[in-house]
Amino acid sequence: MKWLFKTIVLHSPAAHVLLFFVVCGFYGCSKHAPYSYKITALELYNVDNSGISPVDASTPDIVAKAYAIRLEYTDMLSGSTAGTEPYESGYLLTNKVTSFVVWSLTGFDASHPAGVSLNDYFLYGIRTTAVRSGDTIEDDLNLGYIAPGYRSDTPAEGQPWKSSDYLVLMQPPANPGPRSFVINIGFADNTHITDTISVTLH
Amino acid sequence: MKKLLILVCLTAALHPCNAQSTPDSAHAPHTKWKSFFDNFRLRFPTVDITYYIPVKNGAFLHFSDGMDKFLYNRRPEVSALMVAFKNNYSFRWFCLYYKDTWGIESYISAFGADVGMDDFNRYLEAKFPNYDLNPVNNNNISSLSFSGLRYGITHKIHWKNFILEPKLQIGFESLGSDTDRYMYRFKEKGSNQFIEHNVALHSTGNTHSYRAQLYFARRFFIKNSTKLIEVGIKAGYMFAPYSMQATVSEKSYGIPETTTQFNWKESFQVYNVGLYGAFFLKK
Repeated sequence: MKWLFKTIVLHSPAAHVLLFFVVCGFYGCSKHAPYSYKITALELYNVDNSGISPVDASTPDIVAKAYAIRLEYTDMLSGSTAGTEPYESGYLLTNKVTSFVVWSLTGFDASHPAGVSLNDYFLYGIRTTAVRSGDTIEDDLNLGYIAPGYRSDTPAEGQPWKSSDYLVLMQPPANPGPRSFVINIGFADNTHITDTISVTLH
Repeated sequence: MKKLLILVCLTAALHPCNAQSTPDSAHAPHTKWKSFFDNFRLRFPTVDITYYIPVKNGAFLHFSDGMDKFLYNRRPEVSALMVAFKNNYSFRWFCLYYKDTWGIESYISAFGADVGMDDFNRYLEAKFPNYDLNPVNNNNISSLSFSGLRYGITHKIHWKNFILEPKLQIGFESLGSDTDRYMYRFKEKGSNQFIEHNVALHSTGNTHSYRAQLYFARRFFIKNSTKLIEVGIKAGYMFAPYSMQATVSEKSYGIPETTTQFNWKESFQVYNVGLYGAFFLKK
């Protein structure tokens, strides 16, 4: 058995390769606690998505077929950062998003009068260039993709930070003109945040 | 087959005679078995660097929808143990020689090739002239990669300190999971509308590879040591009949998805040349 041990363990390149993977696996899979955060505020911005990348609109006049809304969330740690690591810890939204509704204060088209949900006309994404046909609000809500407040460094306790997602309008309104959109987000603790934005679509 | 190889290996390795700790005279009935098992040598991985040259095959040159460009322009690839575990790699995890002449061996390995996407990207850009190809989803290569276990027999011909070693191997591979889908996203200029263009590859049958290899090496014995080093060159040829299906689909917001399927069979062939080295005990 001594011969076997010496041959396989000490002199075998296979053992060295195996040891390499074991050591890498041991150090590479360390677990760190996730950051816990909650969303405390929402602010909406008009976005012009006519180019390759979206830009915040400098005027409230935007081509309807290239219109998007940037949702800027204010995030805040809801727990301690003890046990977390800046580059390996995930983020955990403690107060889950349970509902998301966008509507127009005036009639959008024949099937969407004022106040009726326009969720089926928008797609939701972390950036407009990555929005896919499957990124419906309902699907992203079910998958927990609404408002993922990721950041790659360590937030200071008590110090809020901003994160943004986008709503992309895929179906222009029946008639151009001024319009106001309202977005209401509900959380697991039955609280809501809401904001309204006005734009002239043409 | 794999269990049988492991059993043979363990039997040879764990037998007390190999430990060289028991005098023959004390266990005379074992002498016969000792001499028998002493004929076997366990060998482990070699370290190598290999240049793979895939043979271009025109089986899909008549395909439409740009699939000729997606599948055809195969690139050579360099692979080395622990350096480029990409489409082509070969890791010998087991080998058992009888009298350092005949051996059976097994590898964890993969074969395949990359195809440059420049021609295919140009085809798509020409197809959608009023759209921008989204940079974040731009694909530079498509890969066709199969991985699995392969088994073989090998024969060493000794001449002084030189060794000539032909090998014959058969592999049992499956299509790698990372090669099955390529997505492009084209955004319409001045609009939120976009087109998702997908290519999905699926294996439609079992894949076996057949290889012939020739190693030529020189052995260097380390003075006052039981260790030796074997360094050499190798050359080989592989062909692997396989059957595949590619599904090309396009999807836009509010428009039903369209799909086109392509089926083909071909023999993937590759030549390779390389350097290799091994380090082991004499016994």
